[in-house]
Amino acid sequence: MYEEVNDQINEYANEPGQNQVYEYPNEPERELVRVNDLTKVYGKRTVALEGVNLTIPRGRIVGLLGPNGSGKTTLIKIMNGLLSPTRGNVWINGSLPGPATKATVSYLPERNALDLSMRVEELLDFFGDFYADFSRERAGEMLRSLNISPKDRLKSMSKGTREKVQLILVMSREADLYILDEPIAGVDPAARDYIIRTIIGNYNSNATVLLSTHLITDIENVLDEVIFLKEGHVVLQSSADALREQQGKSVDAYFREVFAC
Amino acid sequence: MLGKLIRHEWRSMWRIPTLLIAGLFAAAVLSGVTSGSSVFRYVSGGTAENEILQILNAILVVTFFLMLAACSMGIFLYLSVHFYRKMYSDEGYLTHTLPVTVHQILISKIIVMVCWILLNALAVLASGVVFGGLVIWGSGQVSPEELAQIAETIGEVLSHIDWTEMATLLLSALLGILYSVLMIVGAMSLGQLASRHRILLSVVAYFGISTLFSSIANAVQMHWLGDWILSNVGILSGVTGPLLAFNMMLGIAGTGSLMMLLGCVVLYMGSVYINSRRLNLE
Repeated sequence: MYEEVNDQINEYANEPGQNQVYEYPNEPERELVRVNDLTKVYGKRTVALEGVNLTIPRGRIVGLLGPNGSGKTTLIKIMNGLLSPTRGNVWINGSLPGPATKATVSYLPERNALDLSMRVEELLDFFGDFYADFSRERAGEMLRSLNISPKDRLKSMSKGTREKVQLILVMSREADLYILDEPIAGVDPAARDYIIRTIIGNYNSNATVLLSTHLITDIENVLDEVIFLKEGHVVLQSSADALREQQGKSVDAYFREVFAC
Repeated sequence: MLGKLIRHEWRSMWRIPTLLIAGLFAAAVLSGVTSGSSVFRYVSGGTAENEILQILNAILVVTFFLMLAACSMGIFLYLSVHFYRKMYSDEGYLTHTLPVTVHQILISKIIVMVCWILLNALAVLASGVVFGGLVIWGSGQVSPEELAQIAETIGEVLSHIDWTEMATLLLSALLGILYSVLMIVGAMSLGQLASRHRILLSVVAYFGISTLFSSIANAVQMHWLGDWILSNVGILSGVTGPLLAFNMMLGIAGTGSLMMLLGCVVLYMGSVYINSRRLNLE
């Protein structure tokens, strides 16, 4: 099956007009995510993703980069089983999105998904009950470092603090894949630093972090690999170092060139 | 996982229905006490200074009857809004990324909703008993001996009840509650098929499905009744009227329950299909 899908990706990458720089792993056991011919059409005409093929290996921090409306959130929602694809599929750890993948994927949505009437300690109970890989101790440490009391209700917190609580819950899991959708959008620079530190400091070397953003400057230094999405197509997948070497400029500078209006 | 889902679902929604039921009982007690007192004063010769109490009593009695409707309506609306919020609003992002199956998610929510509608029905009954009891007690017109006699009569009536029929009736009522909950679940799920105005489509779907199922149920019941009359034409000319009417009503109710059961299956399977194969959270 892997050979077959790899062939499809190669064929697609070699088509005229495609400029992907694919660096997919040779060993299938290192592969964590495989996206195969993924297409999503909203309604009858709005094409959010078209024929997307990707593989994401384990143990990397991958930036899913693209301007607003490029299809990043759509791809992430399909990976989490929140959207049904129009065509194609996503495999995570060899399974289609479902209870098995949800047990190993830790997802931070771009919006607040928590019940605002809940106290932080109730959220800790909730995550502890449903996710076997959730570490209450790790969450407690992070909350203490931010002086957030477990007795506080979310509705009494500022928007920024709520986002931090949500990030702490997500990063307190020992997941195989962390999917973070725009984690640094709409927060102040100090909070951005905290978020980036939290991400780097709380994932294990065997896990992958898929981080979607259009604010590249702040995260460029932590990225191992980048995927550029443009109008629903993958226009580039490469290691960050290789890209900088080949293009002779930073990922951010190259991003601005590719997505210049 | 189902047990955990039920526990967290219960925790997230118990406050509002409990407040509504507490309000209903408060209204029952207050209106019952003032009504009993009013009856007592009326019987023992009302005077002008009791008018304020009578107005207060009238307001409290009206409030109690309004609360009866508001509690049932309020809980039903709250359950609908809560279901939508947990499944299809921002909070749906968390619900649908839990490592559980769609069956487990839906069943946990259905069980909790059925429990609340049952509790509401029991609360409505109990509040009526509280109101009536307080009126009788406050009026001072019923002696303890008479109360004991009433209790004895009720006990005698209960001892004559056919518990098999009662169980059938209760099961039928439970099926009705399950059907009303699945109407919410089915309509909200159907609304998710629209690309825009999903809440509006859910409301339209609710009334649409309700009308469609009622029409089908009525048609089936009429068809059954026609067949039944034809097959009992000989007996109909006889004199076994009340028994015959009872059997006929039982048959119609049975057909209705069967239709509701079918409706429940269709609504549940449709909801599972939409949430597992056609989910498109906004």
